[in-house]
Amino acid sequence: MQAQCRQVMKANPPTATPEDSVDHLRSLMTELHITHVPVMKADQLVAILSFHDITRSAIKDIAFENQFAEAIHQELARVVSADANRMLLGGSSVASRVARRSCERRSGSLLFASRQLSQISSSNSTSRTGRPDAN
Amino acid sequence: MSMTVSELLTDKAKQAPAATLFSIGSDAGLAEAVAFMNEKGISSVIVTQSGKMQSLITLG
Repeated sequence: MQAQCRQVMKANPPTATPEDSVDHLRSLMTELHITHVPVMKADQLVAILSFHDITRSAIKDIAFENQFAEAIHQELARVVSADANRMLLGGSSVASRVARRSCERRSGSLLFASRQLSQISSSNSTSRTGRPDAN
Repeated sequence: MSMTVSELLTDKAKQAPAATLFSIGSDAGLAEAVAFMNEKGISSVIVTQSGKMQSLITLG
């Protein structure tokens, strides 16, 4: 004779409400080693959420955050480049030299500026001591 | 701020507007429950007794 559902089911399973946070739901599933949770509203079943649903939502959020971070990075690079061109071209500091080189090479990215700063610092220490810094 | 279950359900409803909650009686056999979930393409089914939810059975 085959087993019946009532023989293997767990009565009174953990549930969630629409007001619960998804973080709470994720923790609940992880701690209890369960993959599905019924969502109850005023003692009425309204849905079942699976770990797959939560994962899909998280992936969507991460994709959005990556796009947002990329947009911020591009805007920051643009602003820094514009500021460097406007404020530092006439100076003689290391930063000014970086700005001038950036303009000469038509590059305004932070990465480029960072590399140039590193090279200038290295050449400065070499010219002072005759050999590169140990650092 | 963390997303709420309600917001997640709204997102899910957009992707599957015709989603249905399926149930099976608590007297049903396990093989019947598994066959039912396979037939419907779902990974869980509500177990009911006298029309009330008692639990749920899931695949995996």
